[in-house]
Amino acid sequence: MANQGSRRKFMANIVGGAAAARLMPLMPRAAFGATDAPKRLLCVFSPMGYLENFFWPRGEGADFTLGETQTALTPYKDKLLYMNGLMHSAHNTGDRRAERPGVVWDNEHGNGIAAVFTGNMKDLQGKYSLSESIDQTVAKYLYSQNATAYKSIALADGNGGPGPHSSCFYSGPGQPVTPITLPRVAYDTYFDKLQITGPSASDAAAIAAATRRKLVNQSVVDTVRSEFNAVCARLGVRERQLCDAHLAGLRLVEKRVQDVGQVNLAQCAKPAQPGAGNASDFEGALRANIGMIRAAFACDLTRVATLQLGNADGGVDLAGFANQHGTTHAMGDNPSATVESDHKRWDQFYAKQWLYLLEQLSSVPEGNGSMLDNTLVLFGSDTTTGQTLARGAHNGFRFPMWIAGGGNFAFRTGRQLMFPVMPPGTQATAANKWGYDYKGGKYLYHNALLVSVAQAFGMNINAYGSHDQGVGGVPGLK
Amino acid sequence: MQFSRAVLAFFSGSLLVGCTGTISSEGTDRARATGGMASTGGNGASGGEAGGPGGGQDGNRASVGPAQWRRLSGDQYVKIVKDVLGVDVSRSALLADTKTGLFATNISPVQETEVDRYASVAESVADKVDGAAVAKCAVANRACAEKILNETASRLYRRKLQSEESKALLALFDLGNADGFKTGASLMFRAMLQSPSFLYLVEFGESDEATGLQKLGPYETAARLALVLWNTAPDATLLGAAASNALGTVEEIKQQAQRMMQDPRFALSAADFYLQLFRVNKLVREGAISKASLGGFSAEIRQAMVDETTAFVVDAIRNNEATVANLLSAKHSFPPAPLVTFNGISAASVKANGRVDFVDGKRAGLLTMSGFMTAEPPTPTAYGAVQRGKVIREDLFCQHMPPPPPGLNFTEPPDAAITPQRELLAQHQSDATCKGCHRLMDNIGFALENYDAFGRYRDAYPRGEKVDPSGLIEGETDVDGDFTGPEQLGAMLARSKDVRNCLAEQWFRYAVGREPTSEDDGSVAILAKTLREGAGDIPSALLAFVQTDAFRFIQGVQ
Repeated sequence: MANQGSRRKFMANIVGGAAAARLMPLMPRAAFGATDAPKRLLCVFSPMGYLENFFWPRGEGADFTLGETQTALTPYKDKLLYMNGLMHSAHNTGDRRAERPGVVWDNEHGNGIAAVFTGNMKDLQGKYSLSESIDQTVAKYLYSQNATAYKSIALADGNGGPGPHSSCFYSGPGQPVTPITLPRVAYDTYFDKLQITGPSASDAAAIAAATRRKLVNQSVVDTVRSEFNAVCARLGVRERQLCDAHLAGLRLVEKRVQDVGQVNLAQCAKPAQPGAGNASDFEGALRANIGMIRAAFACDLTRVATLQLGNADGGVDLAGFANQHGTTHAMGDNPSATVESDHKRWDQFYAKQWLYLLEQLSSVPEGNGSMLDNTLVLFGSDTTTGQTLARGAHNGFRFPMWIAGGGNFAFRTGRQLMFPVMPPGTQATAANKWGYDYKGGKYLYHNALLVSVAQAFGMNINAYGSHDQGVGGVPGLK
Repeated sequence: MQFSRAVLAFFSGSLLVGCTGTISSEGTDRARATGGMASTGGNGASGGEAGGPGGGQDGNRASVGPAQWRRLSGDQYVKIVKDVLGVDVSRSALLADTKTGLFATNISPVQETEVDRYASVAESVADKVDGAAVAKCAVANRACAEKILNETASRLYRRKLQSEESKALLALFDLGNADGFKTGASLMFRAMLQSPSFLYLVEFGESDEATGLQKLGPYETAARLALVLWNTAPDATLLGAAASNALGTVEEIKQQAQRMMQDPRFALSAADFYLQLFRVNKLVREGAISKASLGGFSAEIRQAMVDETTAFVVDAIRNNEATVANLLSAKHSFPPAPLVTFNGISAASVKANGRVDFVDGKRAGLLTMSGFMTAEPPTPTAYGAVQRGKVIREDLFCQHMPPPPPGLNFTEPPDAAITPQRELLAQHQSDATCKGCHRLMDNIGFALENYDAFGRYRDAYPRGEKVDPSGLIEGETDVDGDFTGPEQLGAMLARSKDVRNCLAEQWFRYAVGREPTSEDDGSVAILAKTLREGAGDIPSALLAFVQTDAFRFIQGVQ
């Protein structure tokens, strides 16, 4: 499985000498099996939610059919898990505002994107979420147990740079994770210098070259670090933190160069190298990103990844499609057939991408199943587009946060679980549209799902984010 | 510091105000406070305190807000590597910058992935550098490596290297040199490009008894001058001035700044400020402007829009016309060929130097150029006038607009995209809960309705309704009043003192990389005062600013 081009380059660097003691770690090992496959988390963000009537499955429990726009996913129906009726906990509702007088509230997209994976609201300036996101929480935990080369990797398209309407993943309060927004840059970061050792890795000369490279890499890191240490020591408390953040990053660089960036897993293969330019082909770039996540998992470079499509400003921007944000806003009580069909096209487009994602993860065998069975895929969005409740534009009801995969360790998939959306007999009216009394427990906040996800990875967590209702995880997932 | 209370009120107040008459006044209070200080505060930048330290802008004591450690912006990284090492780096090889306001300042903590990017980009640049050529060595040997450390490295670090640093880097050279000079040199470059002294603006200053602050050392001053005025590394002359300790007094700083302002790098750097202020640089950042559903526009046109803004500012600097008034109201531009076609400008009206004079009043200053009109709104929206008006309120008047109240029905009516904005937004003018804020925004945005989503001039909407570009600025600005169309809007903004006070704050963010605090009032006031005088000459304002406390001092370690 070794990349031929890279091995040729590798061999060309041979300087002679042998290091028999290093033979062992370079020996190829088998693929992950049923018992030793790592638990992985992939968080996926897509903007503007879905048109709810055509997204949610019909039926309950294991007896359900997929929503009209999602039928492309039928081959993976038994790997999917829908929780119909969750409420996005930090949506732009009246009670949220009452809790924090004086806060500059962002609009529903801005609040939605900041809270979807954090379960928390934004800072006082309405910019960034006040807490870290579930991917980072899980990443830190998994990394503490098994230090992979990367704690997590974050990929997005060009819309995913840091910003109040484009940051959904956070490494800490007010600290958005900046994703890599070009597939080629991601490739260069994670795979360009990666050495995948095949049978010929036992070649003594190759080992000597690797040893030399390690020495050189380590020397560079040492030099850089000593300069940082000298500077950091002179800084005040606040700036010292910035300096320490850099040193922490440098430690990871160092770890990789000590391993000489080598992987010896049988199923590990580099993804195709994406083109160098800006990706004008959205779908192509997305597929390249999916390919890289698959490869990063297969090579066990990381166990947590995030994938972001578009952002919560304009949504995804595609020629030939109606403007996504405008389309969701145009969904009134009686939307025109055109608007509805425009919206459905978007939702079908997503389903097509998710199908590709699930196919890719399924294509890597692990034990009796596949990588998908060992990867919990958590899909989230900033809003939903309501049709039955709080109609029209974006809201937090029946929040489309759903799951694929992870069946080997996480939840029982192949089901739709129903949660009460509102008290029986209650009708949505202009007056109660945005301000239901959540404290009465009428709605199960999506925080509970974030709790369940953390628990699935073995974390002892019973609450997550700022609007946790104290109910622990979502009932009935196991 | 008699004005500090008003300023503090602005900072705490601006976060929570509504638009019911308080927002605008508090916003302009800040601007007027800084303005007022300039006129009453006595000795300013050029106020003759050249002889020694101390002497703050209020004539009593020097003062400056807390220091802010920051990393080079992606653009600065790319420029410095090109200038010093002659190697091209793709901007997208580095992660997106984080911003202070609208400006890339990277004051937030570095992310692990970014450290990785720095390592990876450093390696690929180092492989490409021709070290011997860069340092102009006759022979590629160890002496050449030392020459690289003495000369090239000083430009990257923006100072002379300390002996331990040189020693460590030379050891790297020796390690790699076993495989040849190129490998040795490349190891040094790899380390240098990851050094804190390259990646960060490392400033400690020298303890200054007179002020109790830290006064920037000569190299630190040189680095700031280079980044603010050139957006890149210092040249040999500037480093030479630092080496001979000739950057200590305001007079010395002023002389260097004047020299640097004659260099083409200054004009490009000034253009960069406007590209960021008016979001035009977003046009070439993939994904930032999402208008594919409107039919899209090519990469060539995007670049042409950026180039037009750049060319306009560069020309203004070159011809000593870079005034606030001119930049916001000039009736000419330099649209590149693809944009001439795109905008339907007659080829005959393009002069030999690329200049087009808009005698028809269709364009007036930076706001009306294709770049800003395409970047705002950044996405197709039926409410473009709101967005454009909001941006002008916030970024040119420095008045914060709060988000809409909860519970609004955002459902767009049918045909919203092709309906005249004035008709679509009629409720904003009459409804009591809307008009407090929306009249402040929409009525400015309406005046720009002559530009479609790609900044193309139009007289009528798609269905044939005539565009009515009449507008109104109200809400306690110094130019409140009615007007019609982009030309008159440009003229009003051009003469507004409030706009100039606001621009002073924007330049501060750009140059210092952080929000101004009350301790920076004196420095911001000097910038504002210079901008308010006459037509508001930008180079004069910057020349004054590099002599202020905020530029010359930092707070000590806390």
